[in-house]
Amino acid sequence: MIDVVLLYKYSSKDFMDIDKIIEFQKNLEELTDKVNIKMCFYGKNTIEEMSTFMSYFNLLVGKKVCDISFSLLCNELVTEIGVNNKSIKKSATLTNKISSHEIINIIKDYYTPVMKDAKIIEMPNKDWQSTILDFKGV
Amino acid sequence: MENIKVEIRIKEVLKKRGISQVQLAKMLGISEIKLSRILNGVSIKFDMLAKLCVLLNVEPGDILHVNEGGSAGSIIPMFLDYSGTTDKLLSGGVENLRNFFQSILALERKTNKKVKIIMVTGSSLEAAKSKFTLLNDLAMNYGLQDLFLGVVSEYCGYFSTEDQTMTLMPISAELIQIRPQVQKVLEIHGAHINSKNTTFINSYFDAGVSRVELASACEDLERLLRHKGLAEDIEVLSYYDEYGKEIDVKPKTHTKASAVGMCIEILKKKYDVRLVVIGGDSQVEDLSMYTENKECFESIGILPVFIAPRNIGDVKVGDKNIFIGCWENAEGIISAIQTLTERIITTEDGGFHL
Repeated sequence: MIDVVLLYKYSSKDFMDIDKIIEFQKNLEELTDKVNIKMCFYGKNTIEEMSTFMSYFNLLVGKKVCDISFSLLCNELVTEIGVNNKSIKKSATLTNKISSHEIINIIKDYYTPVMKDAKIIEMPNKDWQSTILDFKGV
Repeated sequence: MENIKVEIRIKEVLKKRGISQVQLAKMLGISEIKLSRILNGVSIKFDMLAKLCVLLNVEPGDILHVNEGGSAGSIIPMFLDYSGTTDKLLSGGVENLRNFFQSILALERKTNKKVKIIMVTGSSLEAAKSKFTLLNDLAMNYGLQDLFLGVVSEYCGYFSTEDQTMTLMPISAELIQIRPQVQKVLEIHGAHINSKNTTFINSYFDAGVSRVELASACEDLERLLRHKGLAEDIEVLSYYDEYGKEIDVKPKTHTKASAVGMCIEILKKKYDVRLVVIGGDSQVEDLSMYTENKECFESIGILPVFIAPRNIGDVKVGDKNIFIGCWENAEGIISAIQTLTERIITTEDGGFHL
């Protein structure tokens, strides 16, 4: 089992799509025994937008695939607990790193305690629901 | 002249031929959603019009009508309480959301009117707009281009996607003045302030807070309001339920019921409104959206319908406009809309009754 964190540019229009999510669920199921997929988003959006998106996306997928995202508008690492964006954690020490686009390092730091050798890969939004199958043979 | 549009009226033709819209979509080789959009006047290509005429054995003039009406069309506003309803819909997963959209389409087919959803929430405008954008994109990507019409935040601000406008009820100057003191009291009791710089103060507590602690915070706030002579105009509301432990401090005039009334006033200027669906799930305040507006709506020819959960008190059992006991989960929301669709009857003058 390998751990993979996929990084996407946040776009509500790309990801809030019922048909794509259904296809994604099926593809995710295929990978269950081989790859542990986590998704991470960044965008020039507010903390509330990112937090709410994570909550909605996880609920729709039926699995907590997204733990953290980055608000480049507010330079904040955003986490999600519940749908009412009430557990946004801010970290002043991370601010400079995010604005310096060292997102990948922050993700690594975040996941190191639980997923030591996680691969962090930037992904295109196009066909996001099916590109995860690229990791089938990894 | 700006509201003139060409409509395709085939309901009667389909009835005579014994064909449903679902069957017609299959015969045309298109999705139900695409057919629904065509029938609602979004657009139709000539080859599709020709195909439709051949299938139904009619001439274009038999089914095309020019609507010169002064309104932008006839709609069914559907007010849904935000957190309770959307949480339940989304927690049911993506398939349930799809079924929800299908149930809306079925209601549109039965009534031949467009449903327009307006979400009602106590959240701040930014939070409300974030949720709204996501739901709107879900519907848009599903082919329901204009299902989500707007959002009411803090029960006083109305944001509409159509013209990107925002309308506000009169702002409470008193609450703006007293806001720093209210926030201080809340923070002393361990509350986190959710909405900032607005005329509505929403605060939430950590999960471990007890009912006694919440009550104590309320008492201190009420004492402050009395001391300032504002107890008549500003109220303190507390919630201790599965959705959270919260305290709201707000002008008494800003309620869910007044928000619904305000929206209908706005919508009536533009649309022909004959049926209003109101849904809520968790608080007695949800029911007030229906009860406090019922008489007024009926007096102007609007049939109000409320879809109620089991756990709302004071629901009048004899009121046939209230659908009880089907809001406990995502399937329940869908079944409530399906029951309404089954029972709704269109009258000759374009109105509705149950």
